Amino acid sequence: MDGHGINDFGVGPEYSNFAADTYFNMRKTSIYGGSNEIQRNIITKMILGL
Amino acid sequence: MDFNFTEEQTMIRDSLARLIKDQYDFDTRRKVVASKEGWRPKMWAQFAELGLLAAPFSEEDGGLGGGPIDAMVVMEEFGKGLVVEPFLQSVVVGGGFLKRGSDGQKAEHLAPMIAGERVFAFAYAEPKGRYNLADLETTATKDGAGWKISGHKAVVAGAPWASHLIVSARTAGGRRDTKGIGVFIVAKDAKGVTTRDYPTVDGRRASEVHFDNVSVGEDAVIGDAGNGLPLIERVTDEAIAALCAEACGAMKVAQTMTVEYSRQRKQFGTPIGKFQVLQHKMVDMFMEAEQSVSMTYMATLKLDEDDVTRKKAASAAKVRIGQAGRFVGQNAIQIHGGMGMTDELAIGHYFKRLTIIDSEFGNVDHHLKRYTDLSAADMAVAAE
Repeated sequence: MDGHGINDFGVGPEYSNFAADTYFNMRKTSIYGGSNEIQRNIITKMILGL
Repeated sequence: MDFNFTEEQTMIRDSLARLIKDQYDFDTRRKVVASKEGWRPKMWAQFAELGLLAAPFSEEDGGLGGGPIDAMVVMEEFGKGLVVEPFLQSVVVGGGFLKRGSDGQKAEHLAPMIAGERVFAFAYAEPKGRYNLADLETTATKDGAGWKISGHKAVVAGAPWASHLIVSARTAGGRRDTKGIGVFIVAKDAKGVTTRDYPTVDGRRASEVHFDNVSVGEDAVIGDAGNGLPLIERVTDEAIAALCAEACGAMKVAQTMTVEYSRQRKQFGTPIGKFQVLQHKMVDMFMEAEQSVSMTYMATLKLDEDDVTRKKAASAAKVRIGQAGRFVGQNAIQIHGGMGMTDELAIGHYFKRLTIIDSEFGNVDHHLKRYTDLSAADMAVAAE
């Protein structure tokens, strides 16, 4: 265990080792850099002009 | 990649947009749609005069040297104005078949089609065929030097306005065989052709067309009478790309109309456009429309690539546009409230057209499966 969140024991076939990590890592993309809701507020003002 | 339009394409868009604004306002359209004819042949003549009907054809074929992108530009403007005249049926589909026909067929049919004198409709769907282009009970049997066609084609869009039909028929093999399919040009006034015309929910006209031993010559066959399916698939993919462009135009208008309405309509002492829950819904509508535009460009630009690439692109676009059209249309009505359901307001007519577009040339489910099957076949080849 190296603490990087990568499964040292390699559950399942090799090509799928990173699938779960990638999935859980990507969960943050709708939050960081301004959440999806903030982006919608920006588009409301800048593009829809409401 | 260069996504800029050529000067000609921008000119087509501008002059068509102006014509629609001047002569195709919503009230005029309502009257035309309710009239006996259901369309304006004079408007069609004007389209021909503007060069719209010539735009997507090469100069050798009597066109203006354009292609599918020119058709896309026209169809998007048609979508914005809910134009009912049969550009898709006559120019994109009819012309799509004819430009791949013999020189004789081009002289006989393509030239007058481009001039607006002949109007084509595509009689391919059958009552039991679902969206399978190869599921044909209509038959064409060899008869001396020509063919005899018999069968029933359902909901032939634009047929009441057409002078000629492009007909798919079985020349050999069983009902769903991919081989043994021919494509024929049939004059609508030929002996043995009967039609029942009716209005459709999106303000257009269609017909049930019956063929009873209709005689056509050998010169009526477009391409290979024994293997016409690849041609049919190609032309219908071109129709799908054009249809997607029409949907994009309709979605853009439905979305901006909704934003405009939300500015005017007051509730609880404030314009409803100030409510965040509606703002976010309208942003989602905007993004659905934008994604549809991108998918339409992709499908249009891939029409001349290999069969599998072209088919996958057309199906992917049709899926995205079907989903987006439903989302944009339903939410446009929701935000308009009860007003959105009245015949007097344009928004409901956009929703109706978007709904019908999903059912034309295969709906979301059909194209999701087509895409999956093509991808699986692709992977099987790659694995070998």
